[in-house]
Amino acid sequence: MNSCEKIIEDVLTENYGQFYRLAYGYVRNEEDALDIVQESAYKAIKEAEKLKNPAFAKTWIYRIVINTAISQLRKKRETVSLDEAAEIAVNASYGNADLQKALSGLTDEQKTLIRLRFFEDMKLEEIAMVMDENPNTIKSRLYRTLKELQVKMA
Amino acid sequence: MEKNCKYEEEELLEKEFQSQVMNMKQKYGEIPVPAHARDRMLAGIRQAKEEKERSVSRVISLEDRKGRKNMKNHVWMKRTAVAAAAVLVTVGALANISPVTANAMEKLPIIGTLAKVMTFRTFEDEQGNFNSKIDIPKIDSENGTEIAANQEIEEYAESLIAQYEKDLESSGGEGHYSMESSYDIVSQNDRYVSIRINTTLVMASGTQYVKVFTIDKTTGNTVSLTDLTGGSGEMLTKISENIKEQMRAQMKEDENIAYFIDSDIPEMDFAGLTGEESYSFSDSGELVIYFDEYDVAPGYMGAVSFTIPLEVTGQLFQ
Repeated sequence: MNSCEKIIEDVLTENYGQFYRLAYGYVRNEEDALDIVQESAYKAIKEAEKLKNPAFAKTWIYRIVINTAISQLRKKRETVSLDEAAEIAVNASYGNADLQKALSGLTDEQKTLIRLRFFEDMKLEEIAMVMDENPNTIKSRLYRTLKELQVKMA
Repeated sequence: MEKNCKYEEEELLEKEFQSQVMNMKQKYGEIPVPAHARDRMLAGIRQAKEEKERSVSRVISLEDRKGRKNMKNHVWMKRTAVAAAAVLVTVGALANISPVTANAMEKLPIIGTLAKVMTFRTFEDEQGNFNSKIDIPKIDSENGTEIAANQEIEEYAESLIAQYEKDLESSGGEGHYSMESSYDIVSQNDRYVSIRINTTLVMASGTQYVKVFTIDKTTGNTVSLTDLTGGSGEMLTKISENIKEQMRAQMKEDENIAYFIDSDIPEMDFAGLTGEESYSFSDSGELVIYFDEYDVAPGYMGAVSFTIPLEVTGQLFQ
């Protein structure tokens, strides 16, 4: 038994709401988001020994949730775009419709960047860890994405 | 200097975006989290823990074969106490190696040419929203000889019942819970019969467990995949490679198919067979390997199986 398993379990149970929302952001429906939460918890505990540094437990779980969500999306691609369209229509009344629309045109990877940076308030270094990239790459991708959004909304 | 300027521009862009995104962020924070999200997370944690416990017992059980026989019964119970698993046990491959067991093949098989499998006992229980129905099969022997596999099958069923009773007790009768288990003969040839135990557990969501016992008709014993492939590991590696090829080909063919292979998290990828996987045979004698839900593919793929071409394995039995 390694000590990481207990830490991972604590991080999972203390932040289940956050992981659920993250998953929901991708699949936009409760059932799928719940499946992702369960599957991610399963993977995280099963592979607990692979986590070398317990300080990175949360970042590591983020990565598992995101990967699980994206592979779920691959399966549900068509349904999701319909749901997304519906959501944009609903949100239009709250303003910000342009932004919503522009965001929906991004790739999964770009959406992940935006979510982690602005919704989860992560630092570039943390995002780099979650996405297994070098922080400079993340930085340039994030700004390219922001520029792209700027153009779309102009 | 130029670099500094660029940095400021990026800061500005980010700040501007930040203010636009506040409204969305607030909505994001308002996404309602269903009451059972925590239960589902706990279910995932529990499932993984049980499987890990099982794989630890598997290691012990290999050591057992080297001598500590007195522990075997205990270890088996522990291993089977895990409901979340598809295990296929095949008995009888030793016959290919040892002259003593090969000899046994010339004797009358203790399980007839057509194995007679019947329900030995059914466990049924209903308490409030909890219910359970578990059919326990047994194989009839040709001449009244004890069939060793029957005991393993019964112990597996007992572990399912124990799981049900434990869950019933720990829940205090709260919530809905249903465990149903049935069996079928998944394959049968002159040498082996494979009996599959299908268990469906419904709590917050449904989970399916499959266990297959493959039994050598000449000895009445179950045979593991390691035993069947001669224990050298070489054959197992060949089969593992073939499974990986099949995974890649299927994913290339159909984008809705996903396996844990060549993924972004290499440590979770399918590394190869352990030799403890469930298996049976196709009608034409090809090896069929079964995996548990979540073992080698995301949950939506369910429990998956692969048929290994004879070119890879050669003829595995006479």
